[in-house]
Amino acid sequence: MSNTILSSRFSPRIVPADALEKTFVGRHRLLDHLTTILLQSARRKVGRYGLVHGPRGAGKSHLMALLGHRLRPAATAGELLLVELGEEEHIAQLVAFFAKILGALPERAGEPSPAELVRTIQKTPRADQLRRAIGLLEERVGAQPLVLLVENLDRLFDAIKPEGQSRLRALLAAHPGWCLFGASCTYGEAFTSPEAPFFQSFERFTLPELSLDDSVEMLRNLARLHNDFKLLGQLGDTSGRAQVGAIRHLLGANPRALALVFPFLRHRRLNDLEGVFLDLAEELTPYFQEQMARRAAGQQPYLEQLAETWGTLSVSELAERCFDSPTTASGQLRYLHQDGLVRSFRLGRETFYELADPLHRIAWAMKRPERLPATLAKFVAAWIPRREVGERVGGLGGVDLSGSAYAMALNLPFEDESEHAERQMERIEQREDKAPEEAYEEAKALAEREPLFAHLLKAFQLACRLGAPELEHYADKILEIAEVPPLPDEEEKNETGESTEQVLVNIISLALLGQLVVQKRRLSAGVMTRLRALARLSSDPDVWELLLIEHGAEREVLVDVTERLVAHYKAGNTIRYRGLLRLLSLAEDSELVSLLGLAVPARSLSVHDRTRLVLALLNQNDEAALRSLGDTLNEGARGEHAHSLKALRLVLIDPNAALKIARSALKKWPESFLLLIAAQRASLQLGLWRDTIHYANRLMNTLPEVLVGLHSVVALAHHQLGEHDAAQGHMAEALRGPPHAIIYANIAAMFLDDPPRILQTLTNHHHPSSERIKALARLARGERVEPIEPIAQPAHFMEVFTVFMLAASALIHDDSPANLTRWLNSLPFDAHPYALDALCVWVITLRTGTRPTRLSSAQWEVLEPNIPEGGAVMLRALDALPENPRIYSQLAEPARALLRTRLKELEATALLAALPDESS
Amino acid sequence: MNTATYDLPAPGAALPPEKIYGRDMIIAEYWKILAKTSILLTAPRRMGKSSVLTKMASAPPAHVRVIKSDLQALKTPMALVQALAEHAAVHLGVSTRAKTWFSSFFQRFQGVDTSVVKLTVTEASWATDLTNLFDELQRWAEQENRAVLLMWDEFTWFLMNLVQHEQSERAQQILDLLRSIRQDGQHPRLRFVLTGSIGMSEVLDRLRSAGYAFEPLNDVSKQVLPVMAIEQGVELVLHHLPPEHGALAEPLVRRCEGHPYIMQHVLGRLDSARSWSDEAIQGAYDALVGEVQDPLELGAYERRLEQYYPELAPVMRRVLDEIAQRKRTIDELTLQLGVDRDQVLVVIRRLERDLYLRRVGKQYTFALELLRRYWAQHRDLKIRRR
Repeated sequence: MSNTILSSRFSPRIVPADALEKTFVGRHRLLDHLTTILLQSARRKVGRYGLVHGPRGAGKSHLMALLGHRLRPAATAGELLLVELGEEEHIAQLVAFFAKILGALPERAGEPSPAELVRTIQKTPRADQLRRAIGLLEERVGAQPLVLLVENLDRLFDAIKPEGQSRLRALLAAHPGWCLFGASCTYGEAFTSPEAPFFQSFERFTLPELSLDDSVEMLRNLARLHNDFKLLGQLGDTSGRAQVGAIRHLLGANPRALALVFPFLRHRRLNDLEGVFLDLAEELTPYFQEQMARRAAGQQPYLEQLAETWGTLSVSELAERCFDSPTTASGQLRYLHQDGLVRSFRLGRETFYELADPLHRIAWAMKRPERLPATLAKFVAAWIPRREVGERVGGLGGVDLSGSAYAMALNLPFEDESEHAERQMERIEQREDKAPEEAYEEAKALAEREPLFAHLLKAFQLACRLGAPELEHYADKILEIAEVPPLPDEEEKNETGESTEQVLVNIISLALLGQLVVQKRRLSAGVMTRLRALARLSSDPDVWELLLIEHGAEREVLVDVTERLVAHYKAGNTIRYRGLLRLLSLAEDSELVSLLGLAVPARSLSVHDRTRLVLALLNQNDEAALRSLGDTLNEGARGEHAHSLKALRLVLIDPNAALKIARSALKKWPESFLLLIAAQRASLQLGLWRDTIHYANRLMNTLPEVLVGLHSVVALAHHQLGEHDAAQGHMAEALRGPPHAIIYANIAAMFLDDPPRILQTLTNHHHPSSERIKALARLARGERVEPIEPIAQPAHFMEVFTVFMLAASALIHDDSPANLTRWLNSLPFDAHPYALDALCVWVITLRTGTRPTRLSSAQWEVLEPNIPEGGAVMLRALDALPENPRIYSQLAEPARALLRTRLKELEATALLAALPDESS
Repeated sequence: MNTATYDLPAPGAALPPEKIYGRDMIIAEYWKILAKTSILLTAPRRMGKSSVLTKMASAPPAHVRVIKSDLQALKTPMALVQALAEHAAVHLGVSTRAKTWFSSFFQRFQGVDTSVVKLTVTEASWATDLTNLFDELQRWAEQENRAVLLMWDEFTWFLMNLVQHEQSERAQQILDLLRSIRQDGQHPRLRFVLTGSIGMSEVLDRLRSAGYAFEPLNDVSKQVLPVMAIEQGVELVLHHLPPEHGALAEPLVRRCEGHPYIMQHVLGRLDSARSWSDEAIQGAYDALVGEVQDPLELGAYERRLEQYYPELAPVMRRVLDEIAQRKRTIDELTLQLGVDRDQVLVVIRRLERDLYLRRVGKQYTFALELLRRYWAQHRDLKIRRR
């Protein structure tokens, strides 16, 4: 046993299969899947081409070796021929590849041995070798399924060039029972160029980084394999786990990095830590130098810059540092990315890069003596607890410590723990604004050494600020402190004006919502700095959530982040839905609530979250999404919730039914907020103004915070009923509240045909939405006005609706084609799907004389060609009508008649049939 | 471990004929066309052209003998002639006369690796040899009272290879020779199916720029292999789904727009996650579009513009950006982009020809919704949701 190799960092193939199995972590499911598909492919004689892809050290060889091991019984049983070509095979030509395959086939009685077959090829005249090799291979394999497992497939493809790839592909295509599975750390032109013979032929399986749990498990497995029970125990406790976390951070989360540090962990050569570091760096240096040498001269500076930066850099930053244009930088980075040397993250419109393999940084430091101590200091600080560093430094006696990594890691000699901690905190606070990353390094060391509340909080705050991965770790640590510690000074406030206790309460309450905490004011300090910092971690959903909570971020970023979260949750992580939906609904962000909410099946949402979702969709007037939710929305809900969800869902789809359900349920639950909302919205939808007022008034008794919107709705309803005094009163109430687009939209809807009245009512109200409406009113009065500010996304449908109606009023007052064009181009047609409908319906309504103003035929001639979509705008509106019979039913009779005539002219019989029957 | 009773999907792999599903109707249509004329069959990669050929070759009508050749790896006209002769010999080596002819033909090439054979060696004779070969095939067909179908997979690829290796003249000669064989009335029993995943029009553009002025393929039926109709797609998908989840077949086909390669990928992901539901289909689809790794290599659509149309690429991207957000007419695009209408027309024609776009009424939209979503997402465009 003593001669058996139990683990290997670079050559898993020399390790026995059972030892390989024991140290294999985190990819069992993938291995099972690959084994299954290959066995089935072989048995059913269907070819498969697969590519296991990942950076160097990601565990590809380990996986391929195990895959071979798992297929071997089938090969032994004669079900398939298995050929494994490992990393050590260096193949420069296609004929050599075929010869290797022939040489690796099992011997068969009565037939030439594999070695003889290879010799036959070697002796064939050069020009005929390839043909001969293919012939021999086809003959030898016969009708048996063949499975080829080839490491470094990228190198093989590079070597045999597109010509060789074409030959290989043609051969595989002629033999559907042959499978080719490769491993590759690059993903270059041979796979991505549409001109490459194997383009889109390989199914790609990318190896993910090991999680912290997987990393701990792998090291524990190694310890077990080496019978090192002491280390096994150490790795099982909290500090062992934290240390593995530090190693991951420092060296990268890949199996090779862990295998590299394992011997050092094992022997814990603390007395010679510098030696350990130098050995490690020394061992890595040739490997990285070789990689660097293989890069084109133009790419090397990019690797250097990234190696010197312990974080990410944007394309523009890299371009600046390498004295290139951003276009050149993008090109160089794309090559490095294709070859797996850098990783990229996108945030908004910017792409950030970092080294795919953090070990590169250590190797790089070896080439720059002046960088070595600083790199070593980081290593020391992450590697061992501060106390041990202190002991080490103390033990050095009179040795000159200047420049020593230990001293740098410690940064300050200390006699007394508490004094040292205090001074260290002071220094952290002094540096946190100017050099937050250094301050954070120090805060981390302090928090690890002394996990006290104040230290953990500081580390946590800095992690929040930098968007560092340990964020969650520190939040958890803080929350682990069962009792709120006595505050050193109750009067003392932190920089945000909150007491420490308040901060703690924040942490706990938000964490209970499934969230991590952000101190908004701190984070708002520099949006770009924060976004860049967060971009480093864009694979971490917690960070996306932080961005979501922080609503100061740009809207585009939020939408992007939400979409990524949706993708993430669809992959199975639904734990934090609840908190997120709650936070988004508190922020009244209907669009994001619906985006996130619709990503999971309604039945897996809690009743409260379903309510949030349906209200958000209702606020967006998203009829299609409400339809698609169907009955799953109230599945499993009981009592009041079941009725209210059902009614709310139907408000847009079938307001009559919604009103009926809500009315009947309100008899049993008269105070139900949701049922009242459903009844009020359905009444409004049906133009039942009296009922609208009735239910809105009941809501006013229930929920004070929605008063403003309700007052404006009630004002609109009274206005429609001709009760102008009451309308006036409610409008005044609405205008007293905080500004909100919905108020101005309802006021505009009230006075659509009376622009001066709008101007008069909104004289003292200055808000983007009111300004927009006023500008349109002025235009409708015939004044020349600059184009309005576009409606921000997401716009409330009511606002879009009224703005377009008002625009239509304005249009018919303006005879100047140039002014019209300018105006039309400024209208936000994309702001809401109903925008065009609103414009067209209102134009039709006006034109048919249901309002005082009429379009003259001359005006119509100006209007029609100037609408951006030309005549198509009418068609679009008509297209939309079957989806929105409500709009149709709200039209005055002459408008309906005009629509029908127009549809007949267009022979739009399907649309015509889809319209509600006039008699009904 | 999964021991599936159904066929696990194998995106991108070569399939045996019995595992090729959902193409019977289109194949029947192609046989009907072939009764009258030859076919140029094009489609983007991974649409299933080679599979259709494999299936056709495996069960031709009784009177048809199929000789199938993959031209992708060939680099010279001589290599083409030799490959065809080899394949023909395998398929038809029955008549003594033909045997004699083939053996004399091969004797001339013994010891010559035709994949690297130099033009100077073969220039004099390849055209004559190719004509002779066709004559032999016609004679054989008459003798046997059969028709011979020459299936040339990746024909356009082969021509492009010639063009790129400064053999444009050879490419023109091959096209002319093939046209004369089809048109001269001397070879009525020969038919061709020529396929290509890179557009024939690109090859012809390149030849025209080198002074070629003919329409060498205006006598063949030009077919673009379509995505699968719902029923055909369902037929395929049902072979790759656990029987208890058969109800998902139709939603899956609809979601994937009947595109066999996308369906295979989605099926592969369902299988790998051991999860079959509407949500899982949507999740797999979203991941294929949205994953940073770009599993379907959709990024090639953008890269290709730069490669093939370096001058037009900026306008092409803007056009695609616009159309990714909503369908547009030519006039709308002209107005929106503020460029010359003629330029928009040129761009739109190229993008339509290269199967990026398709026309719906007067408007243009992406040929595949999947591609539109990828484009919008990848280019960070605002998407209208309805």
